Amino acid sequence: MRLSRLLTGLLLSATAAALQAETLWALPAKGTQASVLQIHGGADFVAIAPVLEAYQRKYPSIRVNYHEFGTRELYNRFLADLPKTPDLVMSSAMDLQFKLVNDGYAQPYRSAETQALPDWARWRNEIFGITYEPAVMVINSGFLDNETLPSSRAELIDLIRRKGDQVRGRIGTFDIETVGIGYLVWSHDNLRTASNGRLLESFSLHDTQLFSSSAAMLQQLALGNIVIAYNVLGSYAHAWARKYPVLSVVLPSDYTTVIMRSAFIPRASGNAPDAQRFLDFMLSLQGQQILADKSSLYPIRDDVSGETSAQNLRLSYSSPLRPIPLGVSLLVQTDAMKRSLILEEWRRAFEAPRGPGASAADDQ
Amino acid sequence: MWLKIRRPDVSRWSIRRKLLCMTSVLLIAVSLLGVRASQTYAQRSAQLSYDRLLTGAALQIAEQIALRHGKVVADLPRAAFETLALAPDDRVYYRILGPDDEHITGYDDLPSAPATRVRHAGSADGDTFRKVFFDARYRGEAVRFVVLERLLTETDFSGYIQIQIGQTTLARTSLADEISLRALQLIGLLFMVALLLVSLGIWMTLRPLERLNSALARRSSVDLSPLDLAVPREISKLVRTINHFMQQLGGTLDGLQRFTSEAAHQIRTPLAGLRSQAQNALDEEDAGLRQRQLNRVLESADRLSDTVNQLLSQAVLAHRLRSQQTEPVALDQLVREQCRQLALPALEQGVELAYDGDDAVLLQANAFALRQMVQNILENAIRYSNPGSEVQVRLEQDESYISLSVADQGPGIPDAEKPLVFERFYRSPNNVRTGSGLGLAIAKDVASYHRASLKLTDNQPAGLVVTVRFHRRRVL
Repeated sequence: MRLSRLLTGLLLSATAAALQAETLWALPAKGTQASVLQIHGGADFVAIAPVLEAYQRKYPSIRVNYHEFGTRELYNRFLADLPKTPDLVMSSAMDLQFKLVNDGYAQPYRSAETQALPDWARWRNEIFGITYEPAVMVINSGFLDNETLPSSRAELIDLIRRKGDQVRGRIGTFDIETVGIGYLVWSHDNLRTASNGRLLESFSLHDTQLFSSSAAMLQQLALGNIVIAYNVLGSYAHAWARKYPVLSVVLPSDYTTVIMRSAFIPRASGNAPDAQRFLDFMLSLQGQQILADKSSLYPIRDDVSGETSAQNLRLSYSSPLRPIPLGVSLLVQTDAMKRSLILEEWRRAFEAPRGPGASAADDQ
Repeated sequence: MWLKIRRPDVSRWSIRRKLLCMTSVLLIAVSLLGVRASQTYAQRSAQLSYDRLLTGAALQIAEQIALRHGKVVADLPRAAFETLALAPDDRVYYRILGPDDEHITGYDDLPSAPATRVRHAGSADGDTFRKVFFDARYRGEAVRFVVLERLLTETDFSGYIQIQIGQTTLARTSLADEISLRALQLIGLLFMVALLLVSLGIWMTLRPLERLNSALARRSSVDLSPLDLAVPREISKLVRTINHFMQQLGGTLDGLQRFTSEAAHQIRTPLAGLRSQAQNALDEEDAGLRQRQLNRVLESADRLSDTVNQLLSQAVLAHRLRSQQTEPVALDQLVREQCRQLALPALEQGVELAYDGDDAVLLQANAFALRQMVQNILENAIRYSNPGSEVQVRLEQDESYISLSVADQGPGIPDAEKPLVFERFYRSPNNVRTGSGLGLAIAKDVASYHRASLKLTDNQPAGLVVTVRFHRRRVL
């Protein structure tokens, strides 16, 4: 497998708690090493590896150390390690990324590539959206008995009520306490719409299982152990749906929340020039095309073609896409008290009716 | 080494330049004031606008603070932050403090408001909200803060909750810059328009002067007719003065021309007579007759020389009168001196000169001219006196007049001829004595120059009295 050639790095540290995990993927320079680019990433290495490889082909003298963290751990480590910082920070947890940038830890950068981004995909030229990821529902259509797929949240709630015991314990979603993207999307929907409460009630009545990664959730879905996965990232969902045709990806037609993986260059970066080159490369047509073709990530650029492209997404689905903009309203989600209020509501919903076998599969 | 700084001679600047300079200075001063005012206004209005955003956000947050199980709970509304996001590129910091400054949520290291201000600001109206704004540096940037206090009262709780929100100043600065840029553009435009209008106004104001100038320049050197130009009132005075001047100049030129032709005539005729008399004497063979003829030639030559003298002295006099200023003159001394000078020639003619006059008669006058006048009058009196008679000269003064009278006992002048003797070269038809006919004309000119009257009256039983009366006050 192509990846195995790249994986010369090792699992450096695996502390007792899974959330403390840091994985280092060291990618030596293809030519004579001249500099080292330290990246802290909240994305799966597998997803980002093709872009890294192409980047190193273009700049053979750069060694890349890619440190992989859970998104919340990434945030905590960034603050804990200060004043030492990596050269680039990438994560899908927009709220946490934005908080770091708002608090003045990023340095501004302007280039033709960054200026080509739409306004909502950058802020102060300090943080930039790289990919465009809708939060979708995935249904294992095997259990539907020729019923039509639910196209909106209202229809989903309706379906769950009608199926009743058939879906009990077979609905999956992120555990928002541990998964940053899960918290981001859920809290955003919570603040934007009132219908989230009905959804939460429906989930809690039917012993919804909470997962800490997309992969685990989609695997259970493919196996048929669960039949509905809610708020999965579209890129993963499409990748699995290609492999398992029984999985149907639905972008809710009432609204589809879209998150962005974002990157910023810390103010104290020791190697800002390479970080800027990497940022430009990821935002370039070539980098975005690689993200679309090889990583199944939705590139943010309009002019990238392919099945997974922002353009394709906008054209082929009638659902209203609502990107979470990079702006100060993300601060609400990072507020400690707000977070505890949202989690409190979440826990209340899942504590009382928690049934057997519903514990989260913690496989990060 | 000393540097000589040459100051520009402002009085020689063109009016256009002066006016332009003055109006430009004024316009620039007004514009600078305008720029200053607009900057202040821009800053104030930008400050006000974005302070309202801050207040709005703080109020929205304040609404969402409540007591739950005896604890202060702040449920941050997203709308508050969307309000703040109207300044899209500004960082936002916030915190909420409970009673006794207990930290509830947000940034725990924000700078506090200047202590004295929060407690007193707006507390008089008993409002449930009190707020204060202040500027501070936070995380290396200028940040505008609002601190809003809300009185939270429940059955078993009462205390102030403090909401502090800070926002960096990018948006307000750029709004202020934009407003003042607009104002600057407007002021610049107004400045240009005003300058253009002023230039136009100056051009229009000065155009009549240009017209006057070109009208004068176009004239031939002998054209002294009055100017007829349509000009503004201010300039019409100048035109009137020019016209008056030209009229006087014309009069002077006319007089000069008349005088020249008369003089030529007066000299040419006696010269021709002289020549023929001399010729006759040459041709005469009889010695006795020739002697008589030669005597007549001599007589004629004397008369001619008299005439030329008078003409020259009149020319000198006219020049002196035009060019010399008046001075205090002791008239009694002047008259006495003239009498003394003429006493001897008079005695040769058998005429006695008597003087009787007041002392210390002072007069503001042209001494040269006065001397000429007195001499002419005295000579005239002596010339027409019979041998053995007397010429009486009197000088008198009272409060308002000084009068000089010269009386002879000669033949006198008939009343009909009296006005004519002042004309130049007038000779009475019955007059047989020598004389140019200029003496009294010159005396009359001098008298009018001094605004004195010159009168001719008859002496008893015979003779002429010439009286010159000066007005004390009216003498120049």
